Amino acid sequence: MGPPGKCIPIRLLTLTVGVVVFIQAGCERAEPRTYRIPKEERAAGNQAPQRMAEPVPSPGEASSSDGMPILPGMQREAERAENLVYTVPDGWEEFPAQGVRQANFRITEEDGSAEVTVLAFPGEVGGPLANVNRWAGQLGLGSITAERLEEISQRHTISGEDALWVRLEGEDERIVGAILPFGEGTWFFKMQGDEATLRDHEGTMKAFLDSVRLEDRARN
Amino acid sequence: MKLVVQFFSSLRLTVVLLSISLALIFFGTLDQAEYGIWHTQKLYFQSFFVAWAYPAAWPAHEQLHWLRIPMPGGYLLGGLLLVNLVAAHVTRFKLSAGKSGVFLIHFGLILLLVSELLTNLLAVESQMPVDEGSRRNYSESYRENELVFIDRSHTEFDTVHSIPVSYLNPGTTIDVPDTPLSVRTVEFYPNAELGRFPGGESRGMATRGAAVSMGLVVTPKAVTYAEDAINTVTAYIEIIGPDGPLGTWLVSNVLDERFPAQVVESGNRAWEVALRFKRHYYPFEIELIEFSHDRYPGTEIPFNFSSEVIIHHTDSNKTRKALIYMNHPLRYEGLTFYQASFANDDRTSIFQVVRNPGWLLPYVSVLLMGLGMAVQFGIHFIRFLRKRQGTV
Repeated sequence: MGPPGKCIPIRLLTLTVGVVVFIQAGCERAEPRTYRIPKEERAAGNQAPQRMAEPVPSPGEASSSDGMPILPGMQREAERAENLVYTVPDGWEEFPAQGVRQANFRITEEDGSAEVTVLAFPGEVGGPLANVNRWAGQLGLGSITAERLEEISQRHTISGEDALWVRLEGEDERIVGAILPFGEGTWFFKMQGDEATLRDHEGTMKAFLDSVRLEDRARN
Repeated sequence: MKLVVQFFSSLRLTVVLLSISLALIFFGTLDQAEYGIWHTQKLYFQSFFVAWAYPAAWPAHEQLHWLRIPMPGGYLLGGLLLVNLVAAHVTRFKLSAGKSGVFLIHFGLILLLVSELLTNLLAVESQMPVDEGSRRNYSESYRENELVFIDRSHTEFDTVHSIPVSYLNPGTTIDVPDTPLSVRTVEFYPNAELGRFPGGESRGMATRGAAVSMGLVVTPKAVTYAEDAINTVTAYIEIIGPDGPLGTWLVSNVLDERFPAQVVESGNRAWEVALRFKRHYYPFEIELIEFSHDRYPGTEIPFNFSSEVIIHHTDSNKTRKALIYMNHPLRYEGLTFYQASFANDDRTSIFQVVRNPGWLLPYVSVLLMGLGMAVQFGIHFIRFLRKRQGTV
């Protein structure tokens, strides 16, 4: 080997060392840090339950790497779910139940639309006040105090159990619904949509709630 | 020294390394059934050494459970191949017009090996679900978690103090950066199930927060590697203020924004504390205008799905519209947004967000190799033609 050959081992060594140093640098784990983010509304995450809990369809290759979480506790509650029986009011279009959504309906009218969802979660999910505030957040309303809750809510019986009936009025949208502690979980019956549609269907919503029959398997 | 150089530049080494690579891919594929693609990649290809173990699900496992086959991992093999190729070049190849094609091919190959290493080390993948009509300025990694303390006291911005969960080792204490708080990890569960204690009485080790108010109990679970499952990372943490312990909280990535925030107060300051999927924030928001989804008639099999989005950048000059669909990702600010999935009755679109600084290198290397082959073949072809002309 000629003179240029002599420097080859050095080049090789440099390369090897370089690669090792590079890998070391890359393997360094993330450090604790502080950063600023634009002001965020906590209520902005209110879409999460539906999104998180729904099984994601498998669109061929594209979602094979997609690990959307189905939260264990929620899914279990949904699977364990009490038998839910109800009568679908006229003009309500029913969609199949998915994940923690025990029932799904849509009302479409000429001057607006509304959506009705029935959800079940384990535990109290923070209690009535926190949940009514969650709904208020969905309408862009400010936070609601315990006194205000007294004013906008009333008792309502669903399936022989005591539930809380709530009406919330936002700028464009309204929510009427009921929160029912049942067995080891809490059930949420919510109608959300345009003002006109809700005005027409608030009575229908109550009739729907009156038709609901729940059976707690854990008790039997 | 000459022997060392000879060893590293020999063609025999190339053949041996390529054969071992075949074995590595073979055994990696076997283990993928058990560990899933993500873990297998880490175990086999992003490592220096790996030992294949006789799978428990196979027959005669009781007699063969001790069987292990050690082999070099992807980093070692790739590194050696790189050294081998470079050494061979330096010692044996002489640059000449006639060999220029081979040089281009080899240079492309070297670039491919380097780009693979760069991707392994630098690429970050996360997901961004966006609901129709709403905006999002962050994506989440469902494999990584962080413990965050969020200070929402400022009117203009929120301040996030983040600690990667790899720092949460039971018994150790770590300072929360830029706050007077520190955290002592009491228990850490890589995967768990949270439930309500039947009477609502038991609260485990927690003395404050959601675990107490909701009567939560933790049942540890084995770590899952399944593609479509997540690990419910959970921990009991004691938070210590400047004047001593403030209490013990239960934090878990399952206790997310659907639940009331857990708040820690010290002096006249307050922080929301949460263990959540690691977030990557961006200086722009993605707004989903419309998600469309076409299925083959009469089936649930999608043949096309696309998302129409507007990217609102803090720098309004960079605000633009885009359509993201299968095989047509959006490249923006060093990130690539792929249409990955959808949910919520087609009202939520889920993007895979990839930051890979070396994404162009494989294209360049394949181009170089293609060019090299064309040049080499061209040279031979011209020589052949000349010879023929000579003989005629």
